[in-house]
Amino acid sequence: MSNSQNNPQQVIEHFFRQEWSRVVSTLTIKFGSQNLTIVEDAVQEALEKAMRAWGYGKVPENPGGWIYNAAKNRVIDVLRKAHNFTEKTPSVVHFYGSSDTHSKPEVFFDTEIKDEQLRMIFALCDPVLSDEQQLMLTLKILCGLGVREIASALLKKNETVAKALTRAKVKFQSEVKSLEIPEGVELENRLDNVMRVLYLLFNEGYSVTEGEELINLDLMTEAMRLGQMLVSHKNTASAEVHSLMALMYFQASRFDARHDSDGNLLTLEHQDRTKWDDKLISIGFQYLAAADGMRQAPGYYFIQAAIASVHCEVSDYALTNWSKLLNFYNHLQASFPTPMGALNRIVAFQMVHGDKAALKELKGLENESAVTSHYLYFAIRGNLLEKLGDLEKAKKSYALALENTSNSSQRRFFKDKLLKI
Amino acid sequence: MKEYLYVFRGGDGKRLESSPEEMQAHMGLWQGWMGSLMESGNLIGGQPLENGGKVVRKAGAMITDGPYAEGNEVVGGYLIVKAESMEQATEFSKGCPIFEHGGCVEIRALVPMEH
Repeated sequence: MSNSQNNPQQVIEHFFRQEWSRVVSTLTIKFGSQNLTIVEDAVQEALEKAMRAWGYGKVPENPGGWIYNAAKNRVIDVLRKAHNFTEKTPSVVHFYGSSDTHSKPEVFFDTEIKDEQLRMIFALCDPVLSDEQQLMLTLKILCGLGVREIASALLKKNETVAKALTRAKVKFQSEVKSLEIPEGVELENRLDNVMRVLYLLFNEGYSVTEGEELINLDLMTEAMRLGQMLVSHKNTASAEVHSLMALMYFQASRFDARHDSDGNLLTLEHQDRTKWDDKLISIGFQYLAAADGMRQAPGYYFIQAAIASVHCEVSDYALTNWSKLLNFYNHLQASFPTPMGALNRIVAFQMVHGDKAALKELKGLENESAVTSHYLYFAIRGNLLEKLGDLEKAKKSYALALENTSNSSQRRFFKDKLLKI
Repeated sequence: MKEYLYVFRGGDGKRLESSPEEMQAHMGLWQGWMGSLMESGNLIGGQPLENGGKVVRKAGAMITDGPYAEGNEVVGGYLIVKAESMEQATEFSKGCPIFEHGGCVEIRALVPMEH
């Protein structure tokens, strides 16, 4: 009978979640992608056992090793049974290792752990999986979130997430063969995928203001943690990876300022900049400088980070260096055009060249339906027309802006405009 | 003071559905609950049980694998506490985190042994 005389030793915050990511990655690489579900079940069981045992107050000295060994032994047992192997089959013991519970826990070096998780990110971002599947599997396996937590983060139903995950795992198990970090051109392409998933993960956390704020913050932290792994590995530490880190740090610095008390996202103009986190901003600048130092052609994340940095330089929206910003937006639109980029460019253009020229510039976008279906298009148009004194047309634009947004703070703004004009 | 046995039953289904973060939070509740029993001097000891096991009948003529109880009410662990009365032992049990997972606590008074 154990006597709980000793002070219960505590594990660090998020320990279970981190172990999940570490152990599932390591064992999936060890036993192969086809056994992902078996590995997941085994780790789940090991954590459940740890929860019950350690709840009595005693945590083993090497809790990570404890979980790893419990899970590994479970996987070996299940595989043995599945293959109808007996304990006596020496080749199996040799192949899978011993499931003796008294065997010494395997010791990992930090770099090895990171490598396993890094290899897993690349495997989960295999192009045979859809974007959504890549994101969901990353959330489940590398971030260690449960179905309910993923559903809450992505604002989806539990059953929808559960079904999507099952399908994604089936596909992963049957079609993703290589669990190695690719090389050469393949690495470049796959790294693009990995960065896209990380930025998606980050934005899910940043842009969602409903639901659980803690989970949102977790998603952002996880994206940055995984990004940090890419930065620290020599094969993956590209200028774009550094830029992505810079971009995430700049955005994360605004986390507390990004919405009003009703949960509406605020544009940079309306954010209280005293709530921005200077420490995160300065780390962002370090990453951006590192990316810049690599002297590569500016990529998508580099330009995005450069744009974000312009806003981070000043304590007031009115002090923004608009010509610098316009220059970056010109680069962005030239190389990576998007509707949002086009509209944001117009704002900078207006500040540099004036209302009249900006209205003319905006006219040039009239035929792009992806642009003209966006509330921001009408908001900018309304603002320009109002300033130029064409109040009737301005009113019409504001009405259309109102029609195209569900953000209640923005709706209030446009309703106000309509009343005042 | 008398001694009472807490037998923890059930809650397995919910436990296996929990996310890692939820499991860690739940573990914290157990540590807190046990900690308060220990601090008040009412905790004697206890241990969780492994999931698997055997049932032996007829002097070993019949040996079966678990489970050993109907439905979800499998025993997952036990605890022995000191309390003034069954009422007090019942009162202590109300803070047990097993209820969060839909399990239950069975309380039995130990028969004192003569020394």
